[in-house]
Amino acid sequence: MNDDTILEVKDLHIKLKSDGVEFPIVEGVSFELKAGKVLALVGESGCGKSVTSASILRLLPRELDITSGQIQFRPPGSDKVVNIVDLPKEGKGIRHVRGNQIAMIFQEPMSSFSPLHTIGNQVSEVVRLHLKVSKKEARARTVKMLDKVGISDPDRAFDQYPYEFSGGMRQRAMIAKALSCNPSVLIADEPTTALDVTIQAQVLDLMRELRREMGMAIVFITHDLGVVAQIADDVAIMYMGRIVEQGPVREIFANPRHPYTVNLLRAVPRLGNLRDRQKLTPIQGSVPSLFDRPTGCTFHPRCSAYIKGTCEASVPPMVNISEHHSVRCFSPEATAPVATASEVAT
Amino acid sequence: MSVLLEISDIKVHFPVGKTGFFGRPAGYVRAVDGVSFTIEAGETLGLVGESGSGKTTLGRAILRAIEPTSGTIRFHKDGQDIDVTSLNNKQLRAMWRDMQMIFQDPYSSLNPRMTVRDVIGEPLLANKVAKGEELKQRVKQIATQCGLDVEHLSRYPHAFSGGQRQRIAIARALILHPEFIVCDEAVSALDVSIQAQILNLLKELQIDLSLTFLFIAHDLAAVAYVCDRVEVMYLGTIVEIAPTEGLYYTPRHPYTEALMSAIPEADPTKEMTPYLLTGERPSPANPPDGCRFNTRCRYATDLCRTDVPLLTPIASNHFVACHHAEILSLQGAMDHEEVALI
Repeated sequence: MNDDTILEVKDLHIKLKSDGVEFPIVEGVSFELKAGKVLALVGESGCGKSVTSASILRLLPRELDITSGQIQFRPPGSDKVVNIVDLPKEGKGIRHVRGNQIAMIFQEPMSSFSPLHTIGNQVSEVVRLHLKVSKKEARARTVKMLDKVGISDPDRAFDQYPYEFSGGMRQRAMIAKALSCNPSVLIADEPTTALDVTIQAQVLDLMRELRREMGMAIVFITHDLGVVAQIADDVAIMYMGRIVEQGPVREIFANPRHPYTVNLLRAVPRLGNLRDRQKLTPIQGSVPSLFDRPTGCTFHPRCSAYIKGTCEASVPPMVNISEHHSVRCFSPEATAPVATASEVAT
Repeated sequence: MSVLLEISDIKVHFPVGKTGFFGRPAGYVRAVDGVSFTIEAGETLGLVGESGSGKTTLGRAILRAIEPTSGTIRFHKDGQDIDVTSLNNKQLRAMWRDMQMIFQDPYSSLNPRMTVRDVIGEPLLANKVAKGEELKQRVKQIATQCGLDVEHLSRYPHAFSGGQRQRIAIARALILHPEFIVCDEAVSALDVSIQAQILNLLKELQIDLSLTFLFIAHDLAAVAYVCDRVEVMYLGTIVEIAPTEGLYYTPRHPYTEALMSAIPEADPTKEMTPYLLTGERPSPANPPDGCRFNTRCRYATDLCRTDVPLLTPIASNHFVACHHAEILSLQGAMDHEEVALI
């Protein structure tokens, strides 16, 4: 592990066990998260991005198992590296990490709070569990946290129930809950997908500010390329359980090399060229079923650069194109086909 | 172009809380509160706004799937001028042949116990338009047009992916050859690559079948891509309505400006500078006096807190409900062509 790496996932494999048969869900995912950076995991539904992120906290449902690979975590200020995969799924070891050093926020703020307990009760639970402080102190800390995420009148909000909160406020409360123990890593699973654009902008702004202030690293799971462009430093594009392309955001958006990434960027409606609303270029077909995985490169049935006899025969290796940019393809695109406005201008 | 639908002063109020002597409601949620606009034949009109702004309620009220509390809807078809709001149930059913709806979630909008052929053909049976061999033929024809494989028509919905299901829902909506379709978040539940397929399909079908769409969505980029004109709703009222380019690049209402500035552009070289709205959205049960946006508007003055602004024309085809629209200079979404010219 490099010095500034805080979390490293190495060759992670996750399988679904159903009626004694195993289906691969995540196949050899590797990435590094540097301290204070935002890594976006991007892909369509079913690509394994949420499963990968849930496995970091060992929150996988019973049917899913990590079959091999490592998840190495180094708490800041410590030289000891914990391999999260080796920890028992339940017990003190993982509980010390979960919610304390690595925290998570979920997509649906509606269903991630108990309707029967007050917001304050649920947010301060984390503090009391991990920090061993008195009830009074926990309340003070929680109120401060609620204030920090921009909830007006936090003292009153402490005693309110989730139904009294709007979607945006609930997502803020969830962020407060996740950040109340000063985690060094935050896993955000589609935190803005269920929100309106104006609220999304507020939440993204809040996350950016808190990151600057608290210096935590974020794994940001999303399918929205606009959000990726705005918040991430690095991006990993996933397709059917594998990372197909990985690198710094600017590099990937300006110079995508995997045919899937190229097509994904072309399929997004853009606001910049309303005058010339040519047809969007969708990706042909749809994502195959998990139970019917194509052989070799799983994207080959939908790929425009498909090489007969090669792509379906074996899985392409991850190849470094430049120092930080790597791609998993036998015939990566040669040049940048998606011209950005700034390129047009120069 | 001719006007297909004329919506005037539509209100939809839902009673909330039963109190008082005869169980009279304690108040009303004014989901849609006095909305007027027209839809031209053959156009796609976008309807955007936050959740809870009344977009879906308005879409449904136009079809009378929800009864409007007051107001009129006039539908112009083949020279006829039909007052939709005064139709009885039987007439309304006949009217629905011309007005259809596509829903957001293709997982819950299709009956899992019916084959795809039955799902698509059901409107023909229900309206006694066709049966037997003719029905089969018509289902086949529309399914092909919507990009479905006719070999798969005897399968059940569970065997189809989200994008395919949405195609089935579209085929079902189109089988009676309607004139007007309300697409309520029709692509929101789909992945980007599939979303592009469905958006393209809707555009093709519109040209081939000369359809008129009301496209309700919260994804502003998708709306920009398919719509000719766009209207913006806030707390049950329309604050701005204009041709797409005008609305996106030169918004005239502060709320539209806030919406536009909040769109995350898929370009990491452009940092977004959202004009963040402060405060919470007021409840539609108890909207503020004056302009409904005044509690969150950075340009609000005393006038805004007392007087309700009316939707008035400010440029050709551009209507806005703001007291200060004439003097404000607002920022729109990034226009790449203009950026390129600089």
